[in-house]
Amino acid sequence: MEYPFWFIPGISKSLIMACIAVLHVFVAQFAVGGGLYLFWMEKKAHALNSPILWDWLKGHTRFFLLLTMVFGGLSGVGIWFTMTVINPAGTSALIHTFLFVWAAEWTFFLVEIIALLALFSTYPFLKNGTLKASTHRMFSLIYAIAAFMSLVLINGVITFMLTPGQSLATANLLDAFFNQSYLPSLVFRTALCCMIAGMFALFTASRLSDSSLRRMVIKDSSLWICVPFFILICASFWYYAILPVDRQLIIMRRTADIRPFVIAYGWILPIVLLVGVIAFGRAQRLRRPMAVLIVCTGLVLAGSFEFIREIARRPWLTPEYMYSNGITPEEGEQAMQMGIDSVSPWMRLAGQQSVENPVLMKGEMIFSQQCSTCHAVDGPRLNIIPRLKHFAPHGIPSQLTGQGRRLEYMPPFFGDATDREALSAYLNSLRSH
Amino acid sequence: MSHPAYRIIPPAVCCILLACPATAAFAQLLPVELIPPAFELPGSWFVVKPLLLLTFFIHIILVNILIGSTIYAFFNSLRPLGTGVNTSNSDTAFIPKILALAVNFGVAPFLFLQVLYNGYLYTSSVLMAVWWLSIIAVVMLAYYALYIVNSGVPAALAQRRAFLGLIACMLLYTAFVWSTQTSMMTRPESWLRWGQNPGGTLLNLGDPSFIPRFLHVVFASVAIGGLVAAWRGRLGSKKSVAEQTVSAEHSKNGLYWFWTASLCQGVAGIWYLFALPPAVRAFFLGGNSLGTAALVLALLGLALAVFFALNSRLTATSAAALGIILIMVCMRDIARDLALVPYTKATAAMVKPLPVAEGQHIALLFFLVCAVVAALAVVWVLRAAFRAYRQTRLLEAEE
Repeated sequence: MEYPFWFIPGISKSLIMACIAVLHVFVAQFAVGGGLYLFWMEKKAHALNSPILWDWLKGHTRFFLLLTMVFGGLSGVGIWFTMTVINPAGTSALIHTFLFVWAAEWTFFLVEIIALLALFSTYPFLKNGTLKASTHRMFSLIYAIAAFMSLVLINGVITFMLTPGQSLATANLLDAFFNQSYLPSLVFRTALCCMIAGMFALFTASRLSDSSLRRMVIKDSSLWICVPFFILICASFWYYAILPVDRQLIIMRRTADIRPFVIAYGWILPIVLLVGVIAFGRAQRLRRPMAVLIVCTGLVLAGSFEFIREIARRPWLTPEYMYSNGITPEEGEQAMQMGIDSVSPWMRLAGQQSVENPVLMKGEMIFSQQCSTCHAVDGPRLNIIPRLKHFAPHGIPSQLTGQGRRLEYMPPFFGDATDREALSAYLNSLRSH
Repeated sequence: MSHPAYRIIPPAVCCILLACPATAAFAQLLPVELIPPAFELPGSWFVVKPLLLLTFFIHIILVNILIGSTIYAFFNSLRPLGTGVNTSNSDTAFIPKILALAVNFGVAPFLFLQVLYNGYLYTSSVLMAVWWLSIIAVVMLAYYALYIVNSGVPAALAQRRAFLGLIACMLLYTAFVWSTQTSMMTRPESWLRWGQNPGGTLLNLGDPSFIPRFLHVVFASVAIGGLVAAWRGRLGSKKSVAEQTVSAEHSKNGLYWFWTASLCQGVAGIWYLFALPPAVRAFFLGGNSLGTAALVLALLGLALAVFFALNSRLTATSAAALGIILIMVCMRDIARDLALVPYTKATAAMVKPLPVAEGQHIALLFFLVCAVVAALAVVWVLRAAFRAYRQTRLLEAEE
């Protein structure tokens, strides 16, 4: 409540974050797995000494560079920018906690960029013999290690947000970083990285002109999907088992916000294995449309997992520290006793504007501050308007009073009686939409 | 009522005023009340601040090269064919790499900036959310457009020109948004507009220092872009007569761009100085000996750089330019802190403890070790790559 909030009622703010984050994580995981893949495939290309294979590898590296360095790099910055806008209080807490972890991750980003640019730019030097093959392989190994280290570091931050464990009590950074879900998440993501690398390799290999080489590369790339798959499955169960019971209950509840993603995850797992097996078995006949479909299954797998992970935190941004709307329990308590205006100078500022209906305006601003992280008004996602139909007009204040107790996946309503009336009036005004 | 702002007006008086409808309407929020409390720093200020300045110094040089070289390539493409100027991809081949490095070296200062100024930075981010988020898509488009240009797909000169012009506009738009961000974060008095426009579309055009601040970035970029062109002329291939002509043109044009843009930079800089708040301006104009010395050094450096450029002394010009940029980075940082003094003083008591405070020194040590390892890896990779590049050039020369 210390920060202003971005007033965009037509879309849920978390959806904006989700779109950028899912695409970024998908490409970033390709960057990690793809680094390992490039190193491994380069060894193979050197052993076979096939000019066609080298040409394909160079083309694949170019594709890799254009996707991971451009889109992956900038979408990562995009996540930062979006976090600062959608939840500045939460972002501030995270950055102050993990500053040097992120700074260390940045050093590995720098190594990745230099190594990848060198890897791609020096293919001609391999050909003319001025660069040794072992040196070129070293570039790809350095890239692969740097990319993996960036995963190792960001994994600590992401898992802290779901399972901070005792770290908020001990106030110890090592407890926060190496929390209970760190290891299963790292194993899960490493497996997923390798699978995504295999999928994208299928995409570029489907255009290889030499049929026997195409068959070999596609079969090998399919193994990159199928073999880590079993590690992914085991890590999924491990990850779920290690979560606190309340997080497990959130994942398994049958509410509209999470259930579709759990179902999607459950269905996409066997589909991913199936397409990997099909690609292996029909390597000779794999064409680009099928390769695109396989990449899309990877996106659905990664996306459904990320949505489940994010929603599993509800109603928290970080359990027991901050709610998903950026309000801490201490702020919330004060707002309940003394009103939102006592905690939020921005609400006081909004209240000073001369409007036709100050009560409705206040209700609209309270909705934007406390509810629009998850709920949109007449837009994606979790559109509030159809949900209002479950309540009679006089039922909304009761719902707000009980929120957080009856509906444990939602934060409590943080405001006094006047604030509750204002929000109720606003929500009732939406019924006519 | 525990907010430091109420030390200015006693709470009892506030209550009486707010209770009266006639006066409540006049009880406008003070800008200082809008400033979110800061967290403690996870490391010493003497570690975080120098890291911010160092990484920003590298970042801004790369940004200047990026924007300046793109503008240079665009204007190069406007010249009629037959003038001997090479408008092939040599003008733009290196720019995507610069963009990658500029973005990467922007991450680090952005991290340290958030830690030091989160209350100001995040607030202004929300106020201008639409513009702020748009630059991600814009830079991404510019990045891909650069690769398209380098691929030769826009084969006709007119198409290439259009692409380069568009890319230059996109990069200048990004600089405009960043200038808005960094100026709005130092003006909490402008945040009061949020009450009338919370939709994330606020800009900071009403700030008298905004336009000279933005021009400062533009002229600096044009100057550094010219310098880079001059170095390309000095180091470029001169095997054929055509290549020798191109190199000579770049050497001449580049230094011309540098000194004319630097003179414009001087004018914009003086405009910027006199548009700053009086307390900030006074610091550099006799109010503080170090501040004044910095300004004098910067102006002397500018004069030297222009002198060297006029005399085609490229290395000396570049050294002077780097020196000026370093001084400017420090002055800029001091000006930001000075502008925020009234607010930082009033909110000094509101610092919150870190949620996780123990073990930060281990993380700092880890970061320093990673930085050293990364530097060694980068040096090794670059040396190996350049060794092969030099040997290739020798082979080509022998052929």
